[in-house]
Amino acid sequence: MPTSSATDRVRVLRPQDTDTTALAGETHKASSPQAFDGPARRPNAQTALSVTGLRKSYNGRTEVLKGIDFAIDDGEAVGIIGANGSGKSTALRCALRLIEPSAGSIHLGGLNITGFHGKDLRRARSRIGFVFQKHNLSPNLSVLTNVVHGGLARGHGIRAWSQAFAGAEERRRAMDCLDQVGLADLAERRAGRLSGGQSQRVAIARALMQEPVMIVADEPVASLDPKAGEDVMDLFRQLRVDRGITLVFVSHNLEHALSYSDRLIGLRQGSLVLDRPTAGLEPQQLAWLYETEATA
Amino acid sequence: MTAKPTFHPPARWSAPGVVPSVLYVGFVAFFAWSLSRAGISISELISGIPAMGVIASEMVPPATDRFMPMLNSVLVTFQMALVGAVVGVVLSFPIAVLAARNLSPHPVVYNVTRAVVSFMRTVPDLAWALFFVASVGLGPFAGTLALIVDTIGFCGRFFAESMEEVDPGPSEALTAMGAGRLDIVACAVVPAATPGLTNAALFSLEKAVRSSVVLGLVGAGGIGAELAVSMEMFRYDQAATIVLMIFVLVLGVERFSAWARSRLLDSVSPAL
Repeated sequence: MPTSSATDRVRVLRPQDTDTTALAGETHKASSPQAFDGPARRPNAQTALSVTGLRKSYNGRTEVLKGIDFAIDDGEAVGIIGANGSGKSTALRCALRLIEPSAGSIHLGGLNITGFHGKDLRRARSRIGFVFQKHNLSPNLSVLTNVVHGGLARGHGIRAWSQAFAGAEERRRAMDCLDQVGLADLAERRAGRLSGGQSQRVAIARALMQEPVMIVADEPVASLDPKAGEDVMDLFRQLRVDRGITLVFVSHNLEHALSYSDRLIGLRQGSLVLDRPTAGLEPQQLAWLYETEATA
Repeated sequence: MTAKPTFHPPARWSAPGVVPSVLYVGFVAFFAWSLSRAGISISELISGIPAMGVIASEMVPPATDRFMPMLNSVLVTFQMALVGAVVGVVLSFPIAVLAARNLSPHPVVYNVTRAVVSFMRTVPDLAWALFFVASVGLGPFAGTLALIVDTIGFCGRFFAESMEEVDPGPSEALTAMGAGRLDIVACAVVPAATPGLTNAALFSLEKAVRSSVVLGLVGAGGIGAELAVSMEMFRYDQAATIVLMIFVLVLGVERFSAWARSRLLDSVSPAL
């Protein structure tokens, strides 16, 4: 439960608020995310990912996450927004336990992975495609090999180390994934020689190789020019349509957040202060999320 | 209206503190003491110049009467170095994984491996050669063992440091998809560390060639034994031939190493 003074005067946008003109300056007393009446979730939807009471602190002092709760349904597109240092990336990493949370529970695809270790944790992560801001490809390897690495998620071992070792079916699938992101003609190119936009597309192709049920993207277009950023976001949208993949993405671009998500989650100083459908929201109504504490 | 504050540039130089000053003075004093203990003597150097001239004159022309046996010894020297370096590099690889902070499975394993590698590196190759000559007898096998241990000491450290310095991003990406530790080493760490690994491996080959020449002096096989015998028999003309052969060998290996380094680091293999 958030207890800091910062959460005593945050403005909370509730899902049932429809008079958006009233939202921009509205101030509510809210001590925790439970102050929400609940985000608008589809009835009978299966939960793809949920976190409860997620906390993260460093050295027992610096509290980056102050006990946040959210749930994401199968097939949903959720944008996570907030100022620098608000805890967005930490929340995503904690949700996949790339960073160990200090407290809280995490359910992934119906499994409580909070206590998972080793092979169990790896298996749980295997159907989640994580796309990073810096794409995180191996620059000295070919594009095709980087995509083949997606097969590591299903424990292909040495056959997924390089396209040279991969079986014919894996190679064909990798080429299909590259084709889906429009880069099949660059299969032999060294990944380090791609542009930023191309690299991010290859990273998405690698994620597709996992046959993911959900793609988690941490500021996937932050290092791209506007056109390349639009292309990448359009690609995510197309994957949702074609494959029904659940999408969770962090973005500083409010236009993207509003255009490509069904629902927005807002973080401010480690607390969840916004969880509502995107429909009807305007960027200027979210500006307060980026105001400093003194002016908020 | 408040006056705009005036900012002055910082001092160009800052005076050293007490501790650095003491360290500087201590270093200079220790160096002066070292000069006296090193036996530096200008007079002895001057008086030795005629003897140097005599030896140099006896080296010309270099002898060719034992050219083929010497050439064979040079070849054995190179083969010792090659086997020692390659086996050492191969063995260094798993050791380096255990000695890399970001890959080692446990801090205890990390510290123990680092200590073993440091021990291998800090004991001189000549001491290892003496140890192996006493253990397995005279000959190239003892020298090869010494070179293997010396290469592990060198490559174990530099491989580990190369692996520690790689961008953690690709490893994080593979971790996020559920890849295992071995997969991450093979697919993210090694490809990124390849330039560092290549440099260290090629340098270890150069180092092994230079070391293998000296190891013969203590009976560990190779051209060094020939050199020792020639010097003891005052056959400076034969010694000159051996020195020239060593020069050609070391230069050739260094040239090959530089060529291989540029080829390996610049080329793109579509197979990978």
